Amino acid sequence: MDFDKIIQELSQNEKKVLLTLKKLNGSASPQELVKQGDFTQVAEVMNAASWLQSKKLVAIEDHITTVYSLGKEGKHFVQNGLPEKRALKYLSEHNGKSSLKDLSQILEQSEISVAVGWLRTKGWVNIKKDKETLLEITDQGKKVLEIESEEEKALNYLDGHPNTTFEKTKLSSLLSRKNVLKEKEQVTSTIVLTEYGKKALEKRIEITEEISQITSALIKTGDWERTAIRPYDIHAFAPALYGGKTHPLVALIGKIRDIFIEMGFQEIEGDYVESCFWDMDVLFIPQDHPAREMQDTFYCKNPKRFPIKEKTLLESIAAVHENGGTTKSTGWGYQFSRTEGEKTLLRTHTTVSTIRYLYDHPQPPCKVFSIGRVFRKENIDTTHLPEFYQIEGIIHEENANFRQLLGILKEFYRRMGFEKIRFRPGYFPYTEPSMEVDVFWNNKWMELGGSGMFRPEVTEPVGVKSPVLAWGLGLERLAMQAFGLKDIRSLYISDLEWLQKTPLR
Amino acid sequence: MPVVTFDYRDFIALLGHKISKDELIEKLPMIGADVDSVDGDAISIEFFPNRPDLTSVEGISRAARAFFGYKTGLTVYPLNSSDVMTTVDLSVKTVRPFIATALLKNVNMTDDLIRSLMDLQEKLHLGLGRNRKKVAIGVHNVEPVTPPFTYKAVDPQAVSFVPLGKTEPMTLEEILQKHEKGVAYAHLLKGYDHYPLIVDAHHNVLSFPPIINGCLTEVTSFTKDLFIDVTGTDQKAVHYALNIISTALAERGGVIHSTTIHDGKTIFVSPNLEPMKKMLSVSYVNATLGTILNEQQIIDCLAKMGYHATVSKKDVLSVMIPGWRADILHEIDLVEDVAIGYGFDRFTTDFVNDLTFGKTLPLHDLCENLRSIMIGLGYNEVTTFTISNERSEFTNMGLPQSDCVKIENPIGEEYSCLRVSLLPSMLSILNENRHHPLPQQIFELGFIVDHDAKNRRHLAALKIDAKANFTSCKSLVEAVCRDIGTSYEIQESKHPAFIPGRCASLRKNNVEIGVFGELHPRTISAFSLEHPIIAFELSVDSINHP
Repeated sequence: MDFDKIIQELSQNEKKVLLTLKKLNGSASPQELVKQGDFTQVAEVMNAASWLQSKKLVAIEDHITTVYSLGKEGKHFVQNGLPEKRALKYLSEHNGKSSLKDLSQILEQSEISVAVGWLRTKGWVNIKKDKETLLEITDQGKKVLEIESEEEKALNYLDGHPNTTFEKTKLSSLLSRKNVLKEKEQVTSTIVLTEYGKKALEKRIEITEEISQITSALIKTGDWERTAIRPYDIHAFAPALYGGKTHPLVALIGKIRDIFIEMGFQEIEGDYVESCFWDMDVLFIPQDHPAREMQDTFYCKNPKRFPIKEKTLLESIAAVHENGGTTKSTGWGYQFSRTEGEKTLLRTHTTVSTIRYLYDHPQPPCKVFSIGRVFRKENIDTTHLPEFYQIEGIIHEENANFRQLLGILKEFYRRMGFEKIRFRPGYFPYTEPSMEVDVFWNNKWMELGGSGMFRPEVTEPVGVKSPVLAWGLGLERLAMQAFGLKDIRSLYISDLEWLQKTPLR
Repeated sequence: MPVVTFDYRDFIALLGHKISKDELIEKLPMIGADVDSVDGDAISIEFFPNRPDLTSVEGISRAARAFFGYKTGLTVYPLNSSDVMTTVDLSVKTVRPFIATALLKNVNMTDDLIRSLMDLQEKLHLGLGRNRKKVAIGVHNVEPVTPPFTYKAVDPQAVSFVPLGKTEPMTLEEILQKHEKGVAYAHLLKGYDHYPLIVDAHHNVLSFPPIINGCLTEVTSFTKDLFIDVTGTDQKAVHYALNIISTALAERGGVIHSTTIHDGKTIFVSPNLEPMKKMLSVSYVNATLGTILNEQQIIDCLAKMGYHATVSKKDVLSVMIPGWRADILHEIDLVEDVAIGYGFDRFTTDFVNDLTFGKTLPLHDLCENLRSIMIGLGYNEVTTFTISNERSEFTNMGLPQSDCVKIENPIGEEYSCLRVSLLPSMLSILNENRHHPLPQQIFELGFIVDHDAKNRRHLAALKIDAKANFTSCKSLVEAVCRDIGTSYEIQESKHPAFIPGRCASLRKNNVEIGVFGELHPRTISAFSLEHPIIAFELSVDSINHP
């Protein structure tokens, strides 16, 4: 970065650290800087120093120093005096003499030997052995009673200043005693101006008053007009923020719903539990069709059956399956069971809602759509789910035709973002002609939906006299592509982090 | 859907014309197929279940020959007669009433043919034959047996023969118990005391339909003349299966010879390859497709699809439908083939004429408002499965077992009923997210299915947090009610999933519309969670009631 710019963008605290360092000959501990630089805490200094270090203006040098504080014995000594000093005092109060035994009046048994050892080593007493051991104070002993020894000085200092450095030679005798001192290694830092930092100081660095956080007072007083507002490093890290969010699948549904509404469609819906009659029979799916088997469709054991209330319709449907009834179809040519249709199932397609709607509203024109869950007996894995969304739209209109269906599909998929689509022949039991719709995406053709015109065997029995154009597509496949998902389960057994981080499209 | 895998060179030989592999792969889908995979010369095509005639390479090449314009119109196979006769005994009429047979002579049993024949037989059994229930096919070497044949039902213990794949004779009963095909298809004969059998003039067994052939008539690479029997419970399906398989063999150079079947008082010739005639209205075609095709153009389109059509009278075409097309039920099926013959890619597009207005569901606005309110309150939306289990719905929630929609054939115990509440599946979501930091707050706007098997719209939310408590839950519920502008009363409640004294019901005009509070530690533990949770669940339908 450009040198001048660096200097210009220095924060208030960074400038203060630089200027204080200059005053302290280019090197100082954070504590010194706090004191000399008018900071309130070490953290402020260290924070500024590390920014300065990243700008190569200072270096932070770490040293390991040994610091001392009082141990358990040491504290005891500060309170009660050193045992040898207490013994000496006792001697001087008893004409300079005492038997060893008598010392137990003022010293613990464990302290006596310690005291005697030191008294002798330091030459403060003479020891005579008679019937019992006698101690006699020396001249030197008398002298030291008057003064504070180096050891006592050290103990008293450390009592007031725990965790400080101390000249180790002055502590040697205390260190040789058990539990008197605690020794600890501590990392201390020195902040040193680099050559680059010195060069920076040659420029004019002045501490001008500068605003970091805008406050209400600043605004009210108008002080902001007289003071510079410090610029931020806009590239600096800012923590991630997650609010509440729509589920990506729901967002996609919303987008598709909007497309239908824009194109003049009305939304419809239906229940998940349906009868075989409405889900299959009415849609001209023969009763022995493989899709109706237990391995493909979820049947219900509770409720077990839905009585078919539409008796006239039931008769028409039976006739259509058996021989085509009045539709000029040959039908499937089998014996239709009127009770098979009472079986309950979880709807296998939203077309069941569509056909119910047409039965209730047989008069054209109508354009309706539905977006809802459907159920197929699939085990759950990375590409299969037992329930998923189906999107379906129909147009019921006098003289509606195949070319119009192609036009509507092109428009619908164009609005979904697919400019290039193609139609292939397809097959569905309830549409004729039928087709598959492929969209060109990521440089390849992808199958994305089926379409067709409802068969006369489907429309005529429900009282619909004009053509019905229909199409449908699955939502999950589209969602997986849109959200780059490898595992379809993520949509329903969602990881919260995935929900939070997935952009809505 | 059936997938047919064939060899490119075999296909070209059958087609009789050279077409590059790339062009073939590009054009085939336009007949009504999807290229499943291409592995060297092995091409796999997915066909639609309504076209069993396309489930063999012979059938596909026949369709392609017309569609690509090499030889359009009806394919006619030479048909010779034979004196092979089969008598249908009355005894079989209650078990498996229908049979059709054919004789194929001078068949050159190449590896390609054997492979294709077995594959086709299997596909016809599965699809058109509904796993042999409606149709079962037997292909025999005719040389070791002597016509006339008899199709009858016999006592399962009275007859024994050596079935394919075995060396010792077995009774029909033993075959059902021990032979792998017998075990697999025994259910088709369940409840019958006599089983179908085809025997020759000397009581040699050809076949025990729909289970297994006898090893006497086993087909080998040296076989020249084939006898085919198709039996079943659906006369039409039997007819089509025989036509599909015999014409496939004819495509390979076999010569079809007709046979005779004596069925009670009727005597008929089999196979019946006579085209079916259907009238097609030109104006119906044009009205349905939105086109202005004239008679000749439609005739040409149909010729590309293997039909022969002529003008019958003004606006009406007479269409001859090949005897292997099992899917033409209605005029509309011909219209589709006109469209395919014309080429889906050649159609121009149009728009519908009538003006309609878009309209959302009545509760749409309320739902959208609820969603934005929850998001505004910092909740993440989830979508969970409707399929749940009774342990989550009742036991874990401390509720007594009660009525719900139960699945008869679930994929597993975990997915055996429909949910009666949103909270259990959402608690499972929290369980899936235990590794993420707290707090976590989620909501769902979705359907539950009530005991009357009707969908109900609910809104539920959960917050798992060290500091979650009743007061924060009440604030949340009141915020939702306030922001959608509904009146409400709060009443003490004793929902067992919640802590007593920290649970309330939300009521509107004296009707309970929801419940909220602090979840009971028992509930939290039941879902293997370990932190305080507050929850609410509301009926969106009830909120909307004035």
